[in-house]
Parts: sequence; structure tokens; C-alpha cells
Amino acid sequence: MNANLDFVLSDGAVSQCTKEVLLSKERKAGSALKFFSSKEVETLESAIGIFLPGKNSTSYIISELDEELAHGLGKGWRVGCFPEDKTLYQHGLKELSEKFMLVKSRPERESLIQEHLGQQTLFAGFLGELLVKAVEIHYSLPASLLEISCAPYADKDSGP
Amino acid sequence: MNELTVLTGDIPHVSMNHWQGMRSFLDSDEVDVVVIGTGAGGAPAMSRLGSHGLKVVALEAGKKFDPHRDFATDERSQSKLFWMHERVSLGKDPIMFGNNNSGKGVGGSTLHFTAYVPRPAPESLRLKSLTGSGEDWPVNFEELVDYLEEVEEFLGVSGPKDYPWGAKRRKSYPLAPLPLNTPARLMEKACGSIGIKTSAAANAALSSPYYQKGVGMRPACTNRGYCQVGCNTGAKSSMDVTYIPHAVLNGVEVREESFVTGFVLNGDQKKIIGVRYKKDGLEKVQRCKSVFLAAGGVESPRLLLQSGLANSSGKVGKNFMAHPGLEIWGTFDENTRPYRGIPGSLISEDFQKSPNGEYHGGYLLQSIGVMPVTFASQLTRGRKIFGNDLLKQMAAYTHVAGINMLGDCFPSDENFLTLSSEKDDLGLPKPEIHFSYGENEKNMIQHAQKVMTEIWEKAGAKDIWKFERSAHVIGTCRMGDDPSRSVVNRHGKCHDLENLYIVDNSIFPSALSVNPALTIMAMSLKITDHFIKNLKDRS
Repeated sequence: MNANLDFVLSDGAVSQCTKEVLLSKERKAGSALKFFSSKEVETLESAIGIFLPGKNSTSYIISELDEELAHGLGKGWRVGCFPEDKTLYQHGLKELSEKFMLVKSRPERESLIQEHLGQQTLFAGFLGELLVKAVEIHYSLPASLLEISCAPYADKDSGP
Repeated sequence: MNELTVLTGDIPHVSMNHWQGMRSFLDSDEVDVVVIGTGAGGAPAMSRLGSHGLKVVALEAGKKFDPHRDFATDERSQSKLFWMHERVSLGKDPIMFGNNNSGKGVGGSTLHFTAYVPRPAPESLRLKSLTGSGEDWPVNFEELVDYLEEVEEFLGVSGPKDYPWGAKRRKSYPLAPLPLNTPARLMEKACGSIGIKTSAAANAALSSPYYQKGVGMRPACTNRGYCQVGCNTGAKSSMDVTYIPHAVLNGVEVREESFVTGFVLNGDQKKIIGVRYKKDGLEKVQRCKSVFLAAGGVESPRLLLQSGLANSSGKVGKNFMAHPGLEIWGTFDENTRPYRGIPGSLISEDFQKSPNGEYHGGYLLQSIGVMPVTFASQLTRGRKIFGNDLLKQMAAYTHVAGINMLGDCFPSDENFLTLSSEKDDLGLPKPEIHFSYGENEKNMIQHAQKVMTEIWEKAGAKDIWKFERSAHVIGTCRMGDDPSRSVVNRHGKCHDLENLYIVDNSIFPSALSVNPALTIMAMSLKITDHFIKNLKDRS
């Protein structure tokens, strides 16, 4: 992430405020967790590894998720048939861990997630929320955006 | 007053010097008006009240921001602009709130609105009379048009010389249209080839520098593309850089991080004499003669329901509406740079009437750009893909372009807001919103999906897919002449109370098939002018 961040930080078209936010992401990675247990982290690592294969943002994603859940920062709404996020994650991770104990190989786990994502269950709701959050956090990193040839940080005019 | 645009590091931005020297009142001062909420409803009202010399305090739940200092080009860090206190969504089509449609901060939802400001069609205000569906407004277009014009002028709306739909304009838009971004150009070309008329949109964002009373010169748009998470230059005409500075210069106090929780009434319970709010962990009461409520389609009815006020009709919270906002995405060979330019720069109002009677009311089509995190979120939420499929789709992000519909929504008894038994982080009941599309909305969505898909097919898009969403929260405190069917009268005054006015989109009797910001501002000014006239007549 450092080389990519340096590239953005040295760009005169990027505002100071944007630079500070991006730097704070760098500082945040690897901070101590308050919400997830070590067992839950293991399950999360496996799931995120399937959602975003070959990416090295897993620990940042987990630290961001942990901070949101620890501080009760949700997305501002939830479908009424689901419990609040803290409960949803605790129950969901427990069930996911149990299911991962039964299927060990990556293709089997991919199939398991695929099968459940399409269902109308509490577990499916959890998987869907975890997937969306993990992907949102991953693509908020400069390195992830540069990987997809996206350079959105210019605050100075570069045309529409 | 600072008359100059500030230039730092070649990135232009507005000055926020108006906050220095802002007038302040004591809670014990009996001010003329307390305005609750500082978005598209509250800000124009407070500006007008202040300019008539009234003593006004505006209470805003969110913070005051300096766009240049506080708004980063980073979507997640900008979630501070959204209303994140949890809302519970129920019904067959649960509404997504948060970053989809709810704002918090001095400026309200305009801090993150897309800045589309089309005018309502005159017919859409009397849809029931014309079609038997929906609900008529007690206000007609002719009564609104002066205010629509005034708002467009004040904000410096950029738009085409001749707008091809709706009532004939008496004046052109103050500024030339903003440049079309690539998604808009693709849509324009394809629409032209299949006979759908398009036009540059009316946007509340500046195509040229513009003089703003209270601010000085506001700079032209830099095409940064992050309008929906806060404009950091002040080129977008959100309330924080337009009506609010004007209000502050006219002696209005804007009190940030002040969460209103209820009201103090006089002996016969007909008049509000104080507004209860929480600030810095303390319970406070601001004394006042009148109240203007402008907390939006969810928070306004929530506050009234939890206070047990203004509800003799039983209509507080009823008739919740949301615009069908289906999006159709496509992938193109060329680089579309979807994160640059004003996200919505092209519009078509050709479907404001159903060509073959498939639906009543209408919808408009708008081109859409998209920021990367929002796109990633929609991709996973809408298509439920992950792994290599997801990475492949995201690798094509700089080649995507979208079109969305914005359709009318009819009021229905089935759609309502009530108070949940769950409490939020402030210890108040969470709002619980029940929403399902009716047959008319479903028919309209189906029609729009077909049209938008055809446009993208014609444009040469590959991998066309849809994302279902709704936009805006409307209704819940209906305006009308019949006190048994409405909460406020045509002048925004609550039927049940002597001095409570509502000036946000909760009073809309029907959703209208246009983005609501311009109509909210115009209605707010109209209601305020009537209030001021009454005050003067009485004195």
C-alpha cells in the first residue's frame, strides 16, 4: 500500500484533507481489535479470502469492521426481520464457523457461500452484509483503486 | 463579508468566514422562530425569516463543516454526512436509508444531493383530477413558479437555454449547463438514435463562478465527481454555501449538534412555547413564539409522533412515499471515467406520460456516474457476486455507465412510518418504515427497465444489469385543506396547533416525478412569506 499511497500523496491535485484521510487509513491497519474474538477473526479471514481472493487487505477490512461494530456504527438502517448488527455478526460468524468446519476446501466453501447468499434466511442476510462491507472497505483503499486503473483523488479540475 | 474565492494550492474553494461573528441567543430568550433542521426545507426559511429582521435560532442535529477543510475525496470517511441512527425497514420493498437518502449536518441532505433540480410538471400537482390516481396538491404551479425562479436564481442553477419539457420558462437558467460526462454522452447518442429526446440537466452546481450573497464568489465546478459525498469547493449549491450564509448574515443563529427531542406547550396545549433539545449531553429548552419543522420525511413525523402532537387526523407518518429509482448499468469498450463530472448531467422527461397507458403519473431518466465504493457496494448487493467474478467486474469499473429512473409514487395507506419498540443510541424510539410498491409503481418500473435496457443496448453496452433502489423520502405529514385527511394546511401550518409550521418534503401530498430539492425550497419560501405576511397583518 505504501508505494501507491506515496503516489497519491505526492500529487499536487489532491487536497490536504484527502491526503490526511488516506494517511489515517494507513495508520489504522493492524490496530487492536475490540469486538471480534480470535476465533471470529479466523472465520472472517477465511470468508474475506473467498470474497476477495489474492488481496492483502484482509486485516484492514477486519479492523474497520471491528471498529464499526465496537462503536455501534451501522449503515443507518436494517431490514426489520434481521437483528441489530452486533447480534447479526455474532450469530452469523458462529454459524459460518460451524459450516466451515464441515467443508474445508476452498471450492466447497465457495459453493457453500454461493448457495446461502441466494436464500432468504438470517444467515444469508449476514453473509450478504459481510460481503458488501468487506468489498466497500477493500475498494476504499488507494491501492485497490489503482489496481483497477481508477485514479479518483484529483480535487483539481481534470475535465468531466 | 469575504468577497473573494480563496485559492490554496490551486484548488479553489469558498470562504466560510460568515460563521465568525454569528449572532447568538440564550435559551431563555424568546426568539420569534425556532427552525428544526437546516436542509432544503429549513435553510431557505431561516434565510427569509432573518432577512425580515426576525429573531431566529436554527437547531441542527449534525455538525457544521468547512467543505475545503473537512470533505475528503474518499467515500467512507464522508459517511459523516449521512443520518446513521438506525431506522428499521419493513414491507415488501424495504427502503435503504443511510447514504441512500438521509443527511445530517448543517445543510442537511443537500450536502450529499446529486444537485439535480428539475421543476415539477404543472400536471403532476393535480394528478388525481387529471387521472383519478394519486393526490392533488392544494397549491398549483402558477403559485409556485415565482419561487421556483427565485431559487434557481439564488442558487445559480446551470441548465440549458431552452428546456424542452414542462411549462414554458419565463427566464433561462442563470448559468450555462455543466459539461456532459461520458455516461451522459453515451446516453445522449443512444437516445437520439431511437427517438428519445434528451437535454442537459438543470443542476444546482456552478458551470461558471457565481456571486453568492453572504459568501462572495463561489467557484465553478471542477468536475471532481464526488458531489454525493460533499462538494469540497462550494461549487455545488448545497445549503451550507447558499441560504445558510445568507441567513447567518441576517442575524440567524445556527446551533449545530443540537438534537431536538420534543416541545413545551402552553396551558391549553395549542401553542408551542419552547423546543426541547440535547446538546453536549445536556437537556435544554429554547423559548420561542413559533416553530418551523424541517427535519425531513422521517425525522419530522418521528418527532411529532413521539411528542403526541399535530395528529388529530391520524395522518402523521402515513402516506410514506419514495421515488422508484431503478438503475441500469452497462459496460463499454471506452473508458467512461464514471467518477468524473457531475454524476447526473443528462435528462429525459419523455416518459412523464405513459405512451400507451401502462402507468399513471410518470418518470424521468437521468444519466449517472458513480464513485468506486458505491459501485462496488451496488455490485455485491445487487448481483451477489464475489471472488474472481467480482474482481473481474470491478476491473471494468472505469468502463461502466448508468441510467436511472425517477418515478412518481402514489400515497398509500399501506406505506407508513411508526415508532418502533426499539430505542436508538439517544434513547428515543427508532422510526419503523413500512413500504411496498403499488401496482402503478411496479408497472412504471417495468416500463422504465425496458426503455433503459434498450438505450444501453443501442449504445453498445455489454453486461447490462439492474440495481433496484428507491430515492428520497417523501410524505408523512400531508398538506391539504381537509383537517381530517392532512396534517398541515396549504400554508404549511399544522391544523392542530397555532404556531407549528412544516416546511420540508414530509408535506408533499404526492411524490412528484422529479428530484424534490427545488420544490422543497420553493414551498419553504412560499410558506415563510405567508407566515411573515400574517405577522405583519397582525401587528
